[in-house]
Parts: sequence; C-alpha cells; structure tokens
Amino acid sequence: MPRINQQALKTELAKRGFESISIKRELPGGRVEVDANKLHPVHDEGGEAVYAPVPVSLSVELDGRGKVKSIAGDTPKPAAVADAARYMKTLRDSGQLAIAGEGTPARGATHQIERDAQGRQVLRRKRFSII
Amino acid sequence: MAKKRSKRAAKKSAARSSGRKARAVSTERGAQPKGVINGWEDDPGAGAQPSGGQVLQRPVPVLRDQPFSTRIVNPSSAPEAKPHPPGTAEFRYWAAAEALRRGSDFWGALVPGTSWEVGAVLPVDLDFGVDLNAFYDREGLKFFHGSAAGRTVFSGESPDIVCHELGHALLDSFKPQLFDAASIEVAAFHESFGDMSAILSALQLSSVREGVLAETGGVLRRSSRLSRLAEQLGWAIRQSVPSAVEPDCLRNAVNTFFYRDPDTLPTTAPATSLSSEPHSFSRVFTGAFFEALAGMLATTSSRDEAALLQVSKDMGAILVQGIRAASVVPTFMSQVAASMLAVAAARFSAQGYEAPLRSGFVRHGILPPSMAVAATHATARIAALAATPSQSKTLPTLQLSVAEYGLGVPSIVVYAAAEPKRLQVTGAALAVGAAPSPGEDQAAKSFFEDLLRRGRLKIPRAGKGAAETVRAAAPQTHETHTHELRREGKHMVLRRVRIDCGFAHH
Repeated sequence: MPRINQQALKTELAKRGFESISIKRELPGGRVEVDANKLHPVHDEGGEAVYAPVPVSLSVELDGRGKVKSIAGDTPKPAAVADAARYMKTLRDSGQLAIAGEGTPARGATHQIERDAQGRQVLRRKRFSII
Repeated sequence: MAKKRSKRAAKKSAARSSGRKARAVSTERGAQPKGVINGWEDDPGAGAQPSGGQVLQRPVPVLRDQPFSTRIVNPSSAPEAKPHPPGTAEFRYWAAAEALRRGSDFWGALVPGTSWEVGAVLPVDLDFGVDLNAFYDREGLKFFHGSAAGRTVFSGESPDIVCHELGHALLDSFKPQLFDAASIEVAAFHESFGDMSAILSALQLSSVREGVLAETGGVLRRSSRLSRLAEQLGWAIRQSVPSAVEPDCLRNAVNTFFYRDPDTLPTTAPATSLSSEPHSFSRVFTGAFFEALAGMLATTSSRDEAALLQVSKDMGAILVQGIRAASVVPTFMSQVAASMLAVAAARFSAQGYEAPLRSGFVRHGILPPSMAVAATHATARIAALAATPSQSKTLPTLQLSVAEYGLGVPSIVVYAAAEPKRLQVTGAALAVGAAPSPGEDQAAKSFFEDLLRRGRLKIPRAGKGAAETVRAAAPQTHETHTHELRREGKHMVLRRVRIDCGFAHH
C-alpha cells in the first residue's frame, strides 16, 4: 500500500461535508483514521434546524489507487450531538452567542449563527476571548 | 463592546487549502539587536490591586524571527527600542512584544514545523477598541482598553493575557479541529490551554521562577503570582461585576474545583462556583495541571529555579503530545489527561512524572483513580483474592477488590457501613429527587477512592502507581494522611489514624 496523499484525501473528505480534517494515522489494509467535524442539526429554532460542527472519528477505507472506498463513523454519536446541543444552550445563556442580523452582538460573544452556502443556519465560532 | 472591526484576511481560504501548513518552518533567527526594553514580568497588577506588577528588563525582542513570527499591526510602527517608563504607549508596546516573543519561543520549541493557522505571521492589534477583553480569532490577536474606577486598563500590556491569547493561536496551529467543535469540554480545554500557556511562558523568566519559589516557600501549589492570572483585568472587571472574577485575579490555577459532567452544571455561575461556561469549566483542568506541575517540581532533587525551568519545558512537551494523541469526544479532558499520562510513562519515566500527573488528574476528578492507573499500567489488573475477612467488634468487614488502583495488593479489608438500615433514606441527587442508594461494596469503594483522590491514604511499601495520591505538597514537618493500609496477619486492612479538620488544600 503506497503512502496516502493526505491533501487529496482531505479534499475528498471536504467534498463530502467534513470540516477541520486531520489525518490521525494510517492503518494496515488501506485504512486511515481521521478526525474531523461534521455539520449536524442540534437545535430547532422557529421550526428551522440549527447545525453545529460536531466531532467525528472516521475510519476511511481506500482502494489501491488511494481513492475513498468507504467511510465508517461518519455519523456523529448521540453523546456528541447532545454535547453540542448543551454547548449551544450554554453559549446562549452566557451571552456568547450572537445572532447574525440581530444588531450589535452581546459583549463577549464568541459565536454566531450564520447561513451557509446551502442556506442552512450554522453555529460558527468567531473568536476566543479572555473572559 | 469592541468598537472596531476588521475584514477577514483576503484569500485566506485559498491559502489554507494550499498545503501551506505542511511546509517546514525555518528556525533561522536574525541578528539580535543591541539594547534592552522594559516590560512586565506577568501582569501590571498584583493580587487584588491594579498596580504593583514587577517591571523587568529584557533584550529587544524580534517579532519577525522564527519560530512563530508575530507582527504588531497597531500601532503600525515600533517605538524606539529602549527602556520606557510604565504608563506610556512605548512601554506597552515593548511589554507586549516581549511577551509575544517569549511565548512563541517557548511553544515553538515544542511544535517544530508548525505555523499559525492564519499564515506565516500572526498579526497583533494592541488597541482594537474599548472593552475589558482580548480575543484570538483566525485573523490574529486583538487587545483592548477599558476604564474602571478612573483607571484605564490595556489588556495588551499584560503578559498573562498576551500569552493566554497566544496559547489559543498556538493550539489552533496544531489541533485546528478544536476551534469550531461544538463541545463544552473542548471549548473549556481551549481556555485552559490559554491559561496554561500564560503560566508556562511566565516560567521561562528566571526572575519569575525565583520570585514564585520565594513567595511560596518552594511549595509551588500555593496560590501565588504564578497561579493568579490577569490580576489587573480581574480588578477592572471586579469594579463593576465583583462576582464575575476571583477576589485577587481573573482566574486562579490553584483551586479545588472537581470535575462534574457539564450536563449537571448550571450554564452560568459566579466565579466561586463551577458552571458549564467554558472559562468557568476550564478551571478544573487548569487546577489539575497546576497541581501536577507543582508535584513534578517536587520530584526533582534540587527543587530550585533551574529545576523549575526544566519541569516547565517537560510539562509543555507532555501537554502538546497528550493533546495531539487525544480523541475529540465529549469527555475531551479525560482523553487529554490519559494521553498525557501515557506520554509521561513512555518518555519521562526516569523523572517519575506519572505520579504527580496522576495525582493532579485524580484529585480534580478528571480521571477516576482506576483509569489513571490503567492509563499507564493497562495490563496491571490482578484477580482479587477470596479471603476470609478479619473479625471486628464494631462494623462488619468487607473484602474490597483494589487491583485496579495499582497498590500492589489485589484486595484489602475495610470496615464497611454494612449494618442493616433502620430507615430507608438516602442523600439528594444533584438534579431532582433522591440519589440511588449504593450497596455496601460500592459505598466502601467510593470512600476508598475518595481517600485516594484527596491524598489522605498512606500506603506502606506502595507498589508502583500508588504513592502518587499522597499530596504533592504535603507539609514536610508532619503527616496529614487520615488513613493507612496496614498488614494485619494475611490481610491488608484500611485503618483510620487521625481525623484532620484542617483545610486540606494548602
């Protein structure tokens, strides 16, 4: 098995909707362990889902030419989805979540809900703050 | 509220996908300019006061040097490189520059071949507007000024704050997945890393090492100028919202916060309590880290400032490698802790760092004792012996399996609260209703684990992986443990030796 082309794999996974992709290690048999985030609905706001980047651990199987053959673990685990929903509530309660288009964001806001290219509402971190 | 905003750097996405980060970073440095500048050691404030910080003189920092180049973009030009008096814009510039260079040098040695997520140079704005705050975003670092009680505070002149924000940028450089991950523990860990960055960067100054050893009498885990972060900003916030910060700083790495499932915590709370808000929850990991750091120093023979420098570098290496290996899951803190233990066992076994690390993580509840031992002794589980309990005139005895704690014995005898219940009552749950009533075995095991966590158990001829739970900074002059394991005939028996009503933390 030749060494994988990490950049090509990241590009391929990005096309499939994964973000912040990092190759963790290569395993025998053409498998690669990958950490990434995947947008997943975690909250309902006014009848519309809000997506958040939820961590996933992928096991990617490559074919002989290094192309993605299959992906296991691409669905966020329920615990991770619940964690993301709690996180969003914490951000909202502590004034760290600004809503795009709702005027001046709260002091100390670190996150914003934005619309992505597909029209989805997505929770995005804008910055870290000291307080 | 910040008054100024800047546009996102152009073509950033394209640059990020170009494989730039994979390139090796040059470690070449330019010629060192002559002369010195003035700056703060760690913060302009001291304890509860907004002033009183220690001024130090340092060589002129060169921000464009590798590793981890930075550039101050506001103000746009550097003032003359010479010692300026505190309270001037020139002083603030060089105080920030000195902290940036120091933080970059410290972390650069630990993550070679890595560059900032924003690109080759991290832009720094020392006065982005009016706020009592500081930011890292994926454009750069932004600091502010704000007023409190007639005094103007500039967050960018505090090395604690500069190195905290630099820590965010650094962690983002080698674990970018954490930036956007929607997870309470991940966000809290990022904040903890910022505080740990401030502490470890401060320890690269010999004057800080000497000062803190003198202030604490060599017992590093005492609250000190090192553990107190951002005293002046903490003071400024305290003038309007006293409950939002510690009484003598923004956050203190010496604390007794114990891990709780964030789901059981309120979303906000005063500084005296734990909440799931990331800055608040971060204090659990920072507290464990600081206690481990103190314990690591205690393992050295000299315990002097040279040893403290080495320990700070070793801790930085363990932290970076632990983070790299950790899986990003909801219980991220325990993942990092377990990975750090494994790194310490593999790379620093001669120094004996596993014991103080385990102690810190166990005492702050980030790892249960059994998992802490398993992290370094995964194959050390021994089957429990079936033995006859010894007789007691008071309470019934139980044979308790303790193989997973690595004490060197598979089981011990305890005097258990196993008499028949007279009333069917139990304690309250954290949320609603009554907590499940534990069985005698579980209650005895909980009590035993609690002794381990609080460092109150003395273990004769302790096996590997046992002595770590004795407190790293226990007084040298007298014993503070409350229980002992004693060999009585064929059995190891848990015996109380004293009742200690003292405050256990110091």
